[in-house]
Amino acid sequence: MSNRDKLKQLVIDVFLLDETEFRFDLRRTEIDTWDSLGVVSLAVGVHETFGYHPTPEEATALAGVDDVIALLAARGIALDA
Amino acid sequence: MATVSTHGQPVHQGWHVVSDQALATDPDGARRTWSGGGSVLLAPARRGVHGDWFRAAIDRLPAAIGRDHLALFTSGSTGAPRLVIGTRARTEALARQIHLGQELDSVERTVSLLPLTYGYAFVNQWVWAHVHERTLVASPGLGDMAATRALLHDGPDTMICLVGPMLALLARAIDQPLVSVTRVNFAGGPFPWSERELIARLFPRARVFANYGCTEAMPRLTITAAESLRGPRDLGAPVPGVELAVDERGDLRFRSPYGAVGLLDADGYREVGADEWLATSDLAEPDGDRFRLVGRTSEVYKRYGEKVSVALQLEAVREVWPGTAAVISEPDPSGEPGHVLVLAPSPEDAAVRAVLKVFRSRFPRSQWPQRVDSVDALPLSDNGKPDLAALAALPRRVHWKLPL
Repeated sequence: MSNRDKLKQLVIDVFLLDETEFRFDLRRTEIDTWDSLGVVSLAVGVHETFGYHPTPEEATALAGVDDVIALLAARGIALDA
Repeated sequence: MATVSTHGQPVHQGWHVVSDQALATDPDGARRTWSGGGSVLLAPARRGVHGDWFRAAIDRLPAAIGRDHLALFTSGSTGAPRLVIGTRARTEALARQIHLGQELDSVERTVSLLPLTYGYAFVNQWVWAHVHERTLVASPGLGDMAATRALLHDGPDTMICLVGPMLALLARAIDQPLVSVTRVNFAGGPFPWSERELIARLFPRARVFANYGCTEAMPRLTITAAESLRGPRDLGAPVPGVELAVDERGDLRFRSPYGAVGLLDADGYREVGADEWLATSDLAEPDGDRFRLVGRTSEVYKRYGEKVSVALQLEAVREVWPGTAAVISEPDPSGEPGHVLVLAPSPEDAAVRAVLKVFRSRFPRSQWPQRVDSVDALPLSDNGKPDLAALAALPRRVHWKLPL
């Protein structure tokens, strides 16, 4: 599975999305289940999936899927790998 | 020193320790024991304690209750073995109320599918058959479906007692309506509300009753015709003479003229006062002149400060999942109390997504399960309920997992 597919599956699993709801430009404000516990769950999921544990500041600053992509890219984890 | 009763059951301090086998295979002997003036302790076959536990327990009971009493063995919601003690007169009076409430006049026999040392089956079937002079037929139950099917398909008008999880197994093994069955009782857990069509298909001639109670009630508190239920969590109408109430925490309590007169646990024996309210170990909320079940006290726990009701979650899952489901406790990776949903048989991905959609739409994230697992079939205890300890020990397939 590519990193891109792994991120898609992670976001679907963490926020209980339908596959049809998922977009790589999805924003936090569009996902009702991206609440404060969801922030923690996403951070743990990013760590389990990609090996990088976002700091609390980084996790709370994530405002959309594209921010997760940018965060991972800044740590040398490319989504097209 | 133990003596031996007329039909081979041990007697100690006036108490007859009666097994499933004795009740099922020696009805005359069991009747003599019941009516003979001694007291009867029902000893399930697999009960998690040594035989000596019963002798030691009897030694701790007042000598005066070694006549005309009935003791039910339970581990209840605490998991600690104990005895709940009623009287023969109260139990027979309850069997008469059951006869009226379930309109059993026209019923000629009852076929046991559950172990008869289970309080529900003992009172609703064995004692009822004894008091009303009906035939009790011991069936091999779910252990020999062909024999059970033959027994229930042909014969006089029959009453049976089931627990909800047995339905799926019966439906898998039985491909034709069981036409001798004219009364079907459910107790021992939530009424299988979502399976009403299946019940009607399996038992086309039967009137169906939802029954609610607990061991301390010896064991019945309500009897309600299924068509009169207001919903899956409706506890129904109390048996005449029974009072129900909820306290400020939501604990459901009762007073019953048929209920326990004494309790024996690790702290010793204590008499139940004539006007004493006893706990059911269930949580409920008022619903007009009735009560609605919220869950078992032990099935409601706090996670991130919020109450999580396992019963409500299973009820919601059953709306979209046609198989069986159970919940086992498991802390999350941070150590916070949590739970795992287990489905059986193994679901397709679309079915898992449908279940998850229910969690997303109805429950806050703090109440979501840690995982959705599956097994081929839920292990059941002797009384037909999911055996959660056995389930927790089984290898399971993981279909979905929340990182935290």
